[in-house]
Amino acid sequence: MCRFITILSFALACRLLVSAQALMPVPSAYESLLKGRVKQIDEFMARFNATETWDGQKITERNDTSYRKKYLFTLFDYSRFRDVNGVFDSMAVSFVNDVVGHDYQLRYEDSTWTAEVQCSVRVGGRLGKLKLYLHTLKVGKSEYRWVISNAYGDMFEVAATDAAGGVSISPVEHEVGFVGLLSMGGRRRNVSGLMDRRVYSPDRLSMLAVLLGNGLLDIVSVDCVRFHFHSVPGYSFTVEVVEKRGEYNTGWLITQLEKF
Amino acid sequence: MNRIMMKRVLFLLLLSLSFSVSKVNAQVSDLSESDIQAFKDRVGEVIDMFQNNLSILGGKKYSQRVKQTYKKSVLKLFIGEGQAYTDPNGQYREGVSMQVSSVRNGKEVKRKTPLVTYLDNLIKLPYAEVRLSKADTYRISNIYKVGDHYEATATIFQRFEGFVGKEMRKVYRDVTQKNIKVYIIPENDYVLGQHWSVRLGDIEVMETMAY
Repeated sequence: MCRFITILSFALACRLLVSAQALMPVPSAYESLLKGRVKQIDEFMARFNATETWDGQKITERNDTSYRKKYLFTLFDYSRFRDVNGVFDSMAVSFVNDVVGHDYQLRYEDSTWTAEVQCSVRVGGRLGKLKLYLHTLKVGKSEYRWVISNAYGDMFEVAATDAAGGVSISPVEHEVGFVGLLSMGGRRRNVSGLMDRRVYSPDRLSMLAVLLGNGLLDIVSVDCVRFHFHSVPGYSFTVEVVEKRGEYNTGWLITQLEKF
Repeated sequence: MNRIMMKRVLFLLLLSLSFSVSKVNAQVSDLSESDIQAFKDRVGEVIDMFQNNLSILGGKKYSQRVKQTYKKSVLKLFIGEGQAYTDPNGQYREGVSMQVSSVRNGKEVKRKTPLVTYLDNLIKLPYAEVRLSKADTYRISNIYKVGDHYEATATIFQRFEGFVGKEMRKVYRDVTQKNIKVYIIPENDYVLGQHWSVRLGDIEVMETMAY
């Protein structure tokens, strides 16, 4: 009887092991790579501020400046900022020294960072590209939203006042009940000639609002997202996703740095 | 006497303010650290359920009937349960959508897919065997206050391997990072009364080069 129970238990254990294979965790070296990857912008900021380690542990004592410097360097895309001998770009070094020396930190609620979002869109049945710039806006106590502050795209090139070959309204239209307006729609053209230049000022945001509000613009895909930071006095830097095979230096990383 | 009373009131007021400020640590919500951790733990549980159910949908040894049952379980984890819905901000949405990025011949291709279609495609994959492994590593972002509810993002990883033929030759593998929008919504029902419910939302799927 005992032998039977032992055999049955062993068989059941094997069955469970087979069915659990779909849920088995991946090897630990690979887990380590995933932990090291900068997976979210929140994580980028937490590592920048030295409030979180590379493997997600909270840092409560932030006094170790050499530790912070070391981690700040890991947030740069090595392929752009480090030479083959492992020596970092001098601007990156002075940036890191300034950040640590003054304890500059990044905060979501700051107005000093901007998202650049490149999209593929469809307007009037035509495919095109749209670039949006957004920043965070406080809308209530501890409450924020992203709002669009600028937009660029070929679709807005229909109302440039200095463009030639656009439409205009004939001086005799008043005698035919402005029937000429009936053929104004239906296709894409420069319409600046229709507007009173003394008061007309093309405004891309308003144009975007009209397109979105009337369901005339379809965003087909979000192709690229970058973040531009002006949070460290004297510097601006760009953060975007960098994919690298089998490396810790991957994910959201600094790809451009400028000093001004 | 009045001056002494005023000083005492001012001191007590300052003390209560400092206490309330020390409780509220996050700048993008009105939650305390313990509330944030409790929400993150609950989000972690829901994400775990999602990953476990996905593994079954992709697995070839389960019958269609079992997979359809698990598909319904997956959809119940999502806002709108995969159908058109009005989000907590009052906006009408066609349904939870996924933007899937993949690399083909060195070029990145992005396509938008409704969640229901993504799950159906996972069930019908033309492989003799599929192995879906989840990584232990995941991350939940800060929790953001939005009106009467909260939102966050959960990032998870899955490794996918596809095999063909009797010899089970591996013909495809990838590692994807999934960034999932999370809603933490106040709900009221007969059984639990007032409680916070976690629902998953739109997903960005990125093919990584983690191999």
